[in-house]
Amino acid sequence: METVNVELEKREYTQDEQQRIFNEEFMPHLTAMYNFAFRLTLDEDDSKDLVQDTYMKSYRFINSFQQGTNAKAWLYRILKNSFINDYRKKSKQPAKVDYNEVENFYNSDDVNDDATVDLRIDTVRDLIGDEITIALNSLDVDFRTVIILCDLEGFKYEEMAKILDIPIGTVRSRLHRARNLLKEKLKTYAQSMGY
Amino acid sequence: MPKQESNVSQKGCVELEKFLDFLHLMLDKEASTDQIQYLDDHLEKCMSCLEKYQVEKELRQLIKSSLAERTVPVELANEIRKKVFQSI
Repeated sequence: METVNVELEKREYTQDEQQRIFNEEFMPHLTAMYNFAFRLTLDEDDSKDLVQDTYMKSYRFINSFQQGTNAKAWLYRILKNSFINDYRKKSKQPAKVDYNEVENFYNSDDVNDDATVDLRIDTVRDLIGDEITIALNSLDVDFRTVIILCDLEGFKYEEMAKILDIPIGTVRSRLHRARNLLKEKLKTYAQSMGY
Repeated sequence: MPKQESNVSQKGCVELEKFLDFLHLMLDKEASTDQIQYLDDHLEKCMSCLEKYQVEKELRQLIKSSLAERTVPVELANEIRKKVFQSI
């Protein structure tokens, strides 16, 4: 009986089904995956390698994928894990980590434990895209990731929790901190430019 | 002048913490109907929080517009298919 249950849980797709799932459910997300990879690695060649690794893994583990579930979130999870486990060390442009940032902001689930950075609306309106990009790219990769997933890709907190393998409370607190750090950088930049 | 503005924004609204909490939920499309109603009501009577709302909203728009979509290298899709299906 036990064997039957295990087999029911672990679905084996035929080779044709695997190729169909890969082509119809995974490959349409290539642009999103490439862009996510670029936002993490900040390098075109690294992005290509990371996306290739991700798709190789998605095919290798395709029997773990349940049809009808969110393929995009599943692929994001694989890419994020590949980046953390295999890639971060060898990336040509390693994530810029400000260890004070991480120490000060990382280890708490309390959303309201740090003061909200006060950025004026006039300051925001004076900013241009390049300044946002530079500020965002200068954030530690974990903070950058939550902003990308939420603000750019529009994932729900629940999906982000699954992609990042963290509780929803941590998603919210990390987002809160990421946005504060971003605003702090933009504020400092604006002050230095005399805005 | 900046000092005065800073005091107003920091201490101008006693409900600031609650407002910001709900505001982020709303902008992330996670807020409940009651939370959205609270925000609507509050924004009608609080100029200090109205600016916070504008800042957060415009910042999100700036993030979206500044991170323009990058074009996938033309050969990448074929390279992936080749690698993946060769590995069978």
